[in-house]
Amino acid sequence: MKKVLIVDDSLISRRMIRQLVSNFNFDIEEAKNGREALEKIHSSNFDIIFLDLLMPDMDGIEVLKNLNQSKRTEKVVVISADIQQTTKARCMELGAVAFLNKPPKEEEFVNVIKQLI
Amino acid sequence: MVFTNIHLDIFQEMINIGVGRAANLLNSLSGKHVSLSVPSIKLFDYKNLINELESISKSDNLSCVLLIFSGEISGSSCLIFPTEQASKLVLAFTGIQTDDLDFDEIQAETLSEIGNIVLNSLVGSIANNFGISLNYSIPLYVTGNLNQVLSSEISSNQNGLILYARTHFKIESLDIEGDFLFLCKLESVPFIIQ
Repeated sequence: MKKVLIVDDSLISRRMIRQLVSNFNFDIEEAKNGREALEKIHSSNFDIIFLDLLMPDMDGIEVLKNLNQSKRTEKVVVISADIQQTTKARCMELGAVAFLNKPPKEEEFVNVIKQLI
Repeated sequence: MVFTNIHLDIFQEMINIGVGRAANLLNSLSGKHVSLSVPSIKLFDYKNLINELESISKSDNLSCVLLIFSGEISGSSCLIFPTEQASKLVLAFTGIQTDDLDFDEIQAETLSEIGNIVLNSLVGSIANNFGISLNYSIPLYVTGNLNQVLSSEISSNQNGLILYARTHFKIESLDIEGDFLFLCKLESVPFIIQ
C-alpha cells in the first residue's frame, strides 16, 4: 500500500485533501507544519507528500529545501493558495513534481495522483 | 516617481481582475453566486484612512481575515464581514451546524482558510499581472471593530500615503455581505506599474 503524508496547518484543508486522497487505497498520515513533516519524513518512507507552503514553525519552501539537500526520493505535490507564477517556479526548481492551487479541483488532483502511482 | 491618473487607472483594472478571481473562488467555496460592487480606489493619509475605515462599519462585531504581504510593494488585504454572518459561510463550506461544541474553533479555522485562499487569489493576481514576487505572512483571523482588526496595519502606515481599494460583495442566497480591502504603501506602486 502506498503511503502518503498530508502537510497543512489548516484542519479544514487537511480534511479536504484527505477526502480527495480517500478515493485511492493509501495509508494516510498528517502533519501540521514543516517541522512535524520532516520528523515524519525522516523516520518513515512516504511515496507522496502533499505540501502546503504558508505554515507556522517551518514553511513548505524550507521543507522542499531540506528534502532537496538530503536527496530524498518522495514525490512532493505542493497544494497552496499562493497563485504567483514565481512561487510555482521556485517549488518546481526545488523538486516538487506538481503544483496545485487551493482548493484543488478533483479531476486535476486525481490526474496528478494517477501520474505518480 | 509621481502617481498619476494613468497609474490609478491601471491599478484599478488590476484590482478589478484580482477581486474577480477572489469572488470566483468564494463562489466555488460557498457554492453560491457572489455579486460585486465596482471597486473604489482612493489615496489616504493615516488620519483619513481611519475616518474611511470608520465609515465602512461602526460595528464592534466584525470578522476579518488579514493577509499581510511584502516585497516590491507592501501592505495587506482583508476579507471582512459581520461575525453573525460568518457562521452561514462556514456552514456552506463545511456543512457543520452551529450547535457543535467546538464550533468557535472550527469557525476561526475555516474562515482563516477561506480568507487565505480568497486573499491569495486577489493579491497573487496583482503580483502576476505586474510581474512581481511577493512574500506573505500567515493569515490572521481577528474579530472586533475595523480599527481593532486593522490596528497593526494602520499603525505601520502613519507616514506617507496609502493606496486603498474597497470592493463590497454580496452572497444574496446566504444573506451575507462584506468587503474585500486592499491597502498598500503608495511609494513603490508607480515603479511596478512602469
